[in-house]
Amino acid sequence: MRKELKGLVIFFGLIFLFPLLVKSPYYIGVLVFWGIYSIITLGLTILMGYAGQISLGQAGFFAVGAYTSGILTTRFGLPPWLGILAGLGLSLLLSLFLALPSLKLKGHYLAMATLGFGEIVHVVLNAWVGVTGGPSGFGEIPALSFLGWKLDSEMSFFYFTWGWVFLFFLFSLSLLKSPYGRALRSLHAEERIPLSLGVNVYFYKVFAFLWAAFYASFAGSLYAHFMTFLSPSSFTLILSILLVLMIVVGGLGNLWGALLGAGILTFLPEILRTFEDFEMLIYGTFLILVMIFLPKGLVSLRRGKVATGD
Amino acid sequence: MLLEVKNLTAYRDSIPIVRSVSFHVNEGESVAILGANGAGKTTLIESIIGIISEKTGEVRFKGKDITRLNSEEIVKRGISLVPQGREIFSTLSVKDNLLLGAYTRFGRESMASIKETLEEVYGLFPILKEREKQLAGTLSGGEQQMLAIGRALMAKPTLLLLDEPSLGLAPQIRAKIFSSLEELHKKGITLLLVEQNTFYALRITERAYVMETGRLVMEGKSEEIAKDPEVIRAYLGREYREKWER
Repeated sequence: MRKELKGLVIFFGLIFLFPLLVKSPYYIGVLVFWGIYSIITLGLTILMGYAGQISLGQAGFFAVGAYTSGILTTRFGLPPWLGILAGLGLSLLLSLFLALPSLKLKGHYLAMATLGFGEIVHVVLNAWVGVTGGPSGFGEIPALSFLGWKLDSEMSFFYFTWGWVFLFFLFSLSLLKSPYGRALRSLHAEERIPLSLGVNVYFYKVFAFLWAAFYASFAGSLYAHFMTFLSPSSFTLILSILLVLMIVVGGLGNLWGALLGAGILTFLPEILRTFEDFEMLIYGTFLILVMIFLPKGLVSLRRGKVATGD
Repeated sequence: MLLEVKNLTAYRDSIPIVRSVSFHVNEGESVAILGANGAGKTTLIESIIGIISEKTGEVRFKGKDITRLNSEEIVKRGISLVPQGREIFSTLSVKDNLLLGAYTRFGRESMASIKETLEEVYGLFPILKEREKQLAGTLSGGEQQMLAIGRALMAKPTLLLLDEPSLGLAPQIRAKIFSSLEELHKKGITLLLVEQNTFYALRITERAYVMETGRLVMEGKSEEIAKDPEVIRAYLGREYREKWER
């Protein structure tokens, strides 16, 4: 654990120093997105990498967090913190309703159920025009304030977001180090094995699902108050797939992998933009190469010294 | 009577695999269930510990009905399983594997008492202590079997169920595993051993049952079963007598 804390301090130290070196609001904005996606992938890697379940519906929970907080603060004048909490509550409730029946499914069937959830959310966002603004969305979502500090610049939001990434990383790390985390990690094996040790497999699957939904919802609320504008096109199946891709590219079942994957797949499109027509070609080739040569993700480049002892 | 099974029928995908089986294990005993591949031994043992819930009949442990309890409750009451094929968690360290075995004790018992059991397991299998920080997947087959047994012991069981502990092990290592089981038995742990390796199983147990196509067809003292001509013909083979006498 001490080694991991050292890694954490160095990594987050570098991240927090970044805006002092690069003052471009554009790059700081991209870093904010990296932070927001990292929160989702830190949750998703617990579900997929440790508990061995799959979700193709994380964009749905991301949307629920974003819209709940956005709508409550914009239309009903609620303070943003209450909006975020309401989003979290609603996401947990929805994920529980989704998890209880569908976690009895396995593999592809679970993937389909979660995919269906993401699509339902997307349809609701488009169709429920009176509340969500429909396909054209809605704006003027108020900025967050933190301890009297109004987070209306890229720079302030950057520190705020990455502060949360740090905390969420610590939450996940301490979960994985606890007896509950060990039980969660046993879910990867054939079900009868954790069962034979008295691990309540079903409970842990539901728990991991709620955990991932919680992270995604929180990230969604941050997104809403950062962008101050929401429309359904930001919450499609493509995003859900991208999130899965992030943790796979980074390294499944590794917290560092979740951060790294989110970072690379956030920055890569920005960098590749200069290649215009070849953008997708290079992007695709990169993914294929990673899968062929580093099937355990980019973290496997640095073997042995990764979070949680994996 | 520590474990009493009455008319147990257990199913996999609605197909009855174990058919109306009754048997018992007394406290402090070591009992074998013998049988060929596909006889239903694993299904029997998995339905006792609650992994298989599709079943009828009755399972009583320490006088209480545990038929409908889930595996978490059953492990808490003192039954542990060493599953077939070892099935250790290869991406976790040896120590984490062992601590997972104590899963049901966390929160109910102090960390000190869990650590005490850990030291006992290390005492029984010193190699596990040496490899404590290593990933379990890097252990040899024999060491993995020791880990699987150690993991089951971490729950502090009164009754230890073992599903084919000798499967796929070299003869020397197999002998080592069986001698550690004898040691455990001497320490007072009740053993219920499911084995295809009839020779060893009969040597380290006091009583045995023979299972065929889901039913128990024979029961008796291990020593007597070892002399039964039918058992010799079906499970032990001709050369066994010399081996036995040795």
